[in-house]
Amino acid sequence: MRVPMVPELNRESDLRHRIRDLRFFEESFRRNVTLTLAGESLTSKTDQARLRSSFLAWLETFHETRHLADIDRRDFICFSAGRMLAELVRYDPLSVAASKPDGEDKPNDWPVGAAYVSYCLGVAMSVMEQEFNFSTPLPNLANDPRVWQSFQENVRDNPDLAIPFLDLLLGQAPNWSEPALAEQRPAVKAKTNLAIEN
Amino acid sequence: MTPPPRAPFPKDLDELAPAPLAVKDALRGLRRKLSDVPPGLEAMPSDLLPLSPLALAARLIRETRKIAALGEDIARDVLLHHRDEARLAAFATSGFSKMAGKRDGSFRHDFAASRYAAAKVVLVRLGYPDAFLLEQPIDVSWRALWTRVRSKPRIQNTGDAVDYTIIAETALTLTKSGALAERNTPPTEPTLAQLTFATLGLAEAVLAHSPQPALETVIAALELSADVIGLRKSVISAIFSGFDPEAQLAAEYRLLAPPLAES
Repeated sequence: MRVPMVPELNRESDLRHRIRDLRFFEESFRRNVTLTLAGESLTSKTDQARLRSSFLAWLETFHETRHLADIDRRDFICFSAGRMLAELVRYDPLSVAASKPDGEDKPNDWPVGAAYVSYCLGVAMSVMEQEFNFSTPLPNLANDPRVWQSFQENVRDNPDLAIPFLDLLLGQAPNWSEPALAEQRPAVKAKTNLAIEN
Repeated sequence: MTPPPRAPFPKDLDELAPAPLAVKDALRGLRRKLSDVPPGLEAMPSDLLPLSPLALAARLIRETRKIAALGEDIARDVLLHHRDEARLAAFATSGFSKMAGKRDGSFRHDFAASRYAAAKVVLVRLGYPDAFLLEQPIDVSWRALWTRVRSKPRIQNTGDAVDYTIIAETALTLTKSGALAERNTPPTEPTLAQLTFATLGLAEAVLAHSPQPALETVIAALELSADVIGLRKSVISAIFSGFDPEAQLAAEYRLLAPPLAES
């Protein structure tokens, strides 16, 4: 698993606000596709209408849940990145084709999914680095083909399951049963319960 | 008994102001009717049929089309002294969200002229370049909005730098103005007028985040707004047919405008 956009995203000042700009989102997504698929012998095409639809859907849920950032900021960053991944999987703006005949190169098993995950992972890692001044190392399971196969099968049925998958890669406690409900996330529930007890 | 002499001018100058727009809209209507004539008739060589009624009709259509085109050019360039680019450039600063300190006359003219030009750009982007759009109803909407805005002080307690509510109110008023002829659309789909004027509102809200937008910025904002509104047809349809469309549309602008503005 490669996350090639992190150095470039880190150079953007105030990334958490920049990512809410449609033009920046489109530009950085395309750049990430170029970097992620480099050397893969693949040609890619991004459907602009689908990409914009995924952004608009993400924006709507971002505004609906942003109050939860006051409860646990780090968890909200992971959740927002997960929502972005879920919308990318749902609208599926990227298509790829082999640029060389079969057999010459073995492409990534699911290059489109790898491009979506590496983008959202890159954004989350960079925002956390800018916000909290620490970098999150990727766990070993990021390179486990079984995890990727499971991810691909699960999000085909329910794109929202991309949220707990990204949580795993970011070291955050996932919520597999109700992945789209921010209030049901373990970190949010723990802090809310703590506040009630106090 | 002789009737009393007529006053040389209407008592209220507002009655006179839309006259050039009425002439322009009439000419636009004439040109549209002429464009519906079968193309074969216009192209028919009249020299081959010098005395036939068909040949006479073909010649008449050709000549009337030229007169109508000339008339609209005169109305646009002589009466109003504005070309499309100048009209578009005025779009960002001629909405009710930017009305502070403006004189009625120039504000009114810029509002109608720029919204007409902007709606043409949006209609092309939405895929309806031949939609029949009228300017006078936009001008009439200005009067209605002006009266409403002046009569009620606007209290903003939303914390917004931009008055999204007046932009939404403008979009709803223009939609109902009759400026854009309705087409048959399924009940679940927004009408072309709803899409067009919701787009103008979004573009105005987007441009309110730019200090002094250039012409290219205005056109880019109109086109991007048309694309985005086109992607949110179901939301727009629900807003227009739902409870309190003004508040809902203002909320939609509040959500979408900052991410679409040039940073």
